[in-house]
Amino acid sequence: MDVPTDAELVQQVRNGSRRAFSELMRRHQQRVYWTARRLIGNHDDAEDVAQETFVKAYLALGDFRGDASFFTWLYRIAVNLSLNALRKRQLITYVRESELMRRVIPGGHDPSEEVEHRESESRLQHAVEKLPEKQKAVFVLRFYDGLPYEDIALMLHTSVGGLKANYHHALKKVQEMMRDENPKS
Amino acid sequence: MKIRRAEPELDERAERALEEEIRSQAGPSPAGPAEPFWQNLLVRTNYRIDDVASGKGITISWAARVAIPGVVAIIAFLVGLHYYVPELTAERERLGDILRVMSDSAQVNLMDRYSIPAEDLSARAAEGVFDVPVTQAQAYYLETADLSSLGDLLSDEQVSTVLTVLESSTTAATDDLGGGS
Repeated sequence: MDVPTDAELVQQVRNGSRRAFSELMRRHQQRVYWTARRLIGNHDDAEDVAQETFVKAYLALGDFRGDASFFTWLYRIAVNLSLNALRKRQLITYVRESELMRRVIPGGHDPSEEVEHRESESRLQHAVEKLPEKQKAVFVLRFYDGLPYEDIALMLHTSVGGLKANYHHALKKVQEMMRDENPKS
Repeated sequence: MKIRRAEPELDERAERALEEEIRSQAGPSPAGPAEPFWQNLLVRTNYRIDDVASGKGITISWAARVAIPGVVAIIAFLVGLHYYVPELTAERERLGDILRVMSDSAQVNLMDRYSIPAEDLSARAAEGVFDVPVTQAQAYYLETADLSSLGDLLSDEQVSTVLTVLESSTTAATDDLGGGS
């Protein structure tokens, strides 16, 4: 039996099939999760974004015109939600840092350690986290997911030329940061 | 104005080379979730979709914040409106008790005594429609309104007068009945 394409499954969902939507989720949830996780840098928020992405997609499937592929459309939702979550998280971190700085106890541990405490991540992930938002988005979508510039431009509402410049800046910055962390190489 | 240093753009080959270099330097990738996580994610997302699609998610929060307090307030208001009775004065209770035990003939008698001839009403109306004497109002109440509300208009003294009238009329009525038998 032929495996239905995304477009066929989308049509089945529009005809009322929840099973078809579950199949779409099963196909794409890992990529959506990893994109969110690389952009946000933490598991819990990434899981929440992954769920929210599918909920939004399900509710907005009527607006999906099929100009791009279903996955590109889904990706766009995931990236937007991730960037929103990232901004919220940055704000929270900023507030916490300010709060911790006020509570510094002489002789105590460095409060920045508490802020920086994260789950174990690779050097590359550390470097990516330090990139500005736009560069981070294009880096994750291009470097990890290998998406073409045209698709990324569609998702981030920007020009291909601008994206290329952003990506090249990001690559160089990441390379420099990784060299600084590991001077032997 | 910010001036950016113009950097030569990487061509595709240079881009690939840089990517490869970064990949080779990268440490171990962060550990991914185990297989059961993906199954659970599917189930949890489906639950979330059910909640949103059925409107349950919205209803619960909306009910907790708006609907339940609103309905409780409205019910409390209606119940209060239904059961609220202005506090009765002592006179009113007393008069009400008396009127309740009065015989029909005694009530008729009472109304007769206090009824005012139509000519008098016309004369008073000519003086001032809204200038209604208390006695006239009392008579009006006796004829038309709920007798138990008469107490609202009567002073202690007037209540005594009414009681005296009632007693005498009751006695007269009893005498009449006794005389008739």
